[in-house]
Amino acid sequence: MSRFQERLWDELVCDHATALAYPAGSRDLLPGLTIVEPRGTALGTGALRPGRLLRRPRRLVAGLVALAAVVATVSILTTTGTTPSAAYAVTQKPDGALDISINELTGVVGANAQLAKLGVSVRVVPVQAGCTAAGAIAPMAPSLAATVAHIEGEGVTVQPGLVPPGDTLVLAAKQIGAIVGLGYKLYRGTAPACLPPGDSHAG
Amino acid sequence: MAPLTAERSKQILAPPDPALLEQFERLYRSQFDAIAAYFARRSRDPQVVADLTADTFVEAMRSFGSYDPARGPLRPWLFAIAHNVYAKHSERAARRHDAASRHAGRRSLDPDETDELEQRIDAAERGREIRQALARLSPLDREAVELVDVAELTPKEAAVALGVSSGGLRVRLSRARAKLRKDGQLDV
Repeated sequence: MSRFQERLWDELVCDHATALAYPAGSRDLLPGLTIVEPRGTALGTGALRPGRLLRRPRRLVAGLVALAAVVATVSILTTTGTTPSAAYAVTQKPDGALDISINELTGVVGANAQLAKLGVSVRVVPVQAGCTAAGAIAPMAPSLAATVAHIEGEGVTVQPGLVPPGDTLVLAAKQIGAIVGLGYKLYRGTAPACLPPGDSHAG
Repeated sequence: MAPLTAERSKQILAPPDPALLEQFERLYRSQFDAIAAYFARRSRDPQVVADLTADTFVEAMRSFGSYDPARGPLRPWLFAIAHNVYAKHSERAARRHDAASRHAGRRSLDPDETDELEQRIDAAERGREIRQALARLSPLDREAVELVDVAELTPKEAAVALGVSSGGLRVRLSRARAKLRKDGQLDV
């Protein structure tokens, strides 16, 4: 393996491998749901964003468990140090893509109102204990999944034009400590009003 | 703000699943060259090739845990991510007017890595020539020909990567190849 390839692999493992288990607990609560890292976490901060991957050459010298704990600590401190912002933001770009961020669960209603106004089949759905709503999950084409991307420190971006007619792209908003994590899933018809933790329909 | 506790740290970030990490490593090692070549056909700048290759695998790693094998093979899924990464890069580049801002915040490469990436870029020369020859095609037709005839994806895989139906992809391929033969640009 080449030097660059090896170095990039080390960086991936050091800085991003936690995504393969992230967010802890949510995999159990929302099995199969595709998770996009919330803003304010290590994966959403400038310190670890992809564009700066190779700035700090280092080797995998510590156990991943210890590394995850350290990164988590840094993440939380970063989050607590930020200035509170709006509960949500929905921004449409010239190509139709939407930048969506949810900073507080109270922003879900406003975000959905904005999405409805835009006439797109995308909705934000809170994950709530005791939720009994149900929905029919639809298979998601890789091309659609590939367009749902984390925006560095800003939430997620989606391409509503790729959502099949009759389906709804659901962004599941789950409170994780002080931050809101977003996952995504495609549903037949309309989105459920909420997603219950652990419900098979959630994943 | 809730206080930081060990439990909250564990809640927010957990160690990776070893089995998933192993699967992802196999994907990484088997597809790294193909993804680096994909970007080397699009840029002669080692920095850009390095950044976009890294961005692709970062995005892939972020999504890998929820990848459903029933959706199809991983290779077109990875190329779809690369396609999206390059589209975003092009969009960003179009918004930046000067070279200094284009390169701001990007990673530094050591001389050995730069040499290695330059070799990859040189090796992709034929691919770049083909892309130039395809310039008269629509962007989607160009991508279809490149993925099948250069990156050697099957038409079905290319269709998945580009988010079109297999039938639609075959139509595009046929039409594009006919046009290229007619123009005498390529023997494809």
